[in-house]
Amino acid sequence: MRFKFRMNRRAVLFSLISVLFSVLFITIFSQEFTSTYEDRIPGSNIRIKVMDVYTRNFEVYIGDSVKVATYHTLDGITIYQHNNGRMFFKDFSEFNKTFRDCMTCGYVNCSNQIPSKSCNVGDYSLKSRLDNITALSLQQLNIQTNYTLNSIDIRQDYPFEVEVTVNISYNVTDDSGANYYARWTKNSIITQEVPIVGLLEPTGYINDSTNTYRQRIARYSGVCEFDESCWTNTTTQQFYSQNNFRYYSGGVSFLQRYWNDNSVSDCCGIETIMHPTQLSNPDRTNSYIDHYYWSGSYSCAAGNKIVSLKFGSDNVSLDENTASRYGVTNQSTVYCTPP
Amino acid sequence: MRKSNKKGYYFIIDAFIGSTIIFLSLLIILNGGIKPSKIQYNYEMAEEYSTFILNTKIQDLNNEYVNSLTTSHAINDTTLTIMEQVDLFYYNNDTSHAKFMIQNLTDPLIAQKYSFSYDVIDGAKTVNIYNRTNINTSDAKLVVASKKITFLQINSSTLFGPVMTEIKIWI
Repeated sequence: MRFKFRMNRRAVLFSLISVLFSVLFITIFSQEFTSTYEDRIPGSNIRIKVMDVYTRNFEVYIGDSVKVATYHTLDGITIYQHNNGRMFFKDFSEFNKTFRDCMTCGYVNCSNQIPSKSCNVGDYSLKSRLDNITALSLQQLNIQTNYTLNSIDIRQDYPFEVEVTVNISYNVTDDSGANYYARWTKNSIITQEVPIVGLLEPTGYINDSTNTYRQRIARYSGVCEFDESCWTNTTTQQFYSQNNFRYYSGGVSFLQRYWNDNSVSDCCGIETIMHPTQLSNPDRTNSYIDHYYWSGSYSCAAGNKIVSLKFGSDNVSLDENTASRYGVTNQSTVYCTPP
Repeated sequence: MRKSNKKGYYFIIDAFIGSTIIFLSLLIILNGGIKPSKIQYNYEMAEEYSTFILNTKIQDLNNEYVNSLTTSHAINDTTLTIMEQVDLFYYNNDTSHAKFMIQNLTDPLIAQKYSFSYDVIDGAKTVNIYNRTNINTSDAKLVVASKKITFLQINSSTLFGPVMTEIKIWI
């Protein structure tokens, strides 16, 4: 009995030591175990994944919205300037400021949003587009998005596209509970190339008091696209019949046309030969190259000899230099000799 | 002699019990950090499927039905993701192609024991694109849903969306 008691005491001692080891292990690892478990519950890591996907998507959405908003804003400004007394902007600075406001809120001045100052962009202003996604994310995903548009700038480096840069600050916050355990804050500079194909040609549309000229930009892609020396009567007639614009280093860029700047643009000059049917009362003593026609600087009255050409059933007027440039001088007859 | 043998048995049995306790403790601690819960697994599964559909481009797929749509020019831009292509079909009122595309792409991926649905939530309107039902959601033990915001630039002047795409899995 005495022996038995001694043995039991030792056995209890060994069991106690093993239990103590177990407690020790559990105590050492319990902190890590708890945090690992917390990290794994659906409310945290799944939520982070959802917000991560949303945040990545949000930036792509801003880019797409900028493209579409730019397109609508440029067309809207052309229409607004025509309706507003056929006024051109004073300079690039004034144009850029109006562009910024029109694109942001859909009005010429965002701090004075009255119907008569609408830029005709519908619900394609950048604010409208971004508000759509922020409302949807809050309603459906419990994700709060706040943003600030810091700046919007437009420039042109290529003949058939403009470049728009938007500086935006935003933060994306989890709104599913009292504890906002996930938040992204970021400042992004988003640059988008926006094609001008399909847009109204601004100079003619703003200038034309008869509301007849509504030429939209389409791009010429014939054999002479990159070869200035290949123009002949045939290729010129093809170019004319397509009613497209082409790159010409002596031409005027798309953006310059908003402030009626007729200076040569090496990078981005474009031109077309206007059709007399596009005008209510075409001036045959003027050159039908669009930027020449609206500036009037290549007209007969301005001291240029004007020749006439027969393209299909149309009588087309060109100044003598341009007729030579397009290789059609020998097909032409003199229409007007300067006084 | 007998006394000594008896003592040895006690020591062996006691050491064995002690080792078992330590071993089980370690087993519980270490396994606790690895095994995900069943609910979490299903959440992750739904999220993984929706991320796959959101991010995978048509050109990266090798699926007979999708290839036939590309050949017949029902799909013209293979740089679009699966979700964007569904949006485009939806925008063009061609939900039939959208349905069969999702069916062909998800049926081999998602185990048959799961029910699956793909919905486009466009404002107040919810349009079911594809539905594979084993049991009703009301009878399901577990329903998990993954929502993604989608949009698509149709052309220079048109931006479709944003709309919500919801992928639901239940069992």
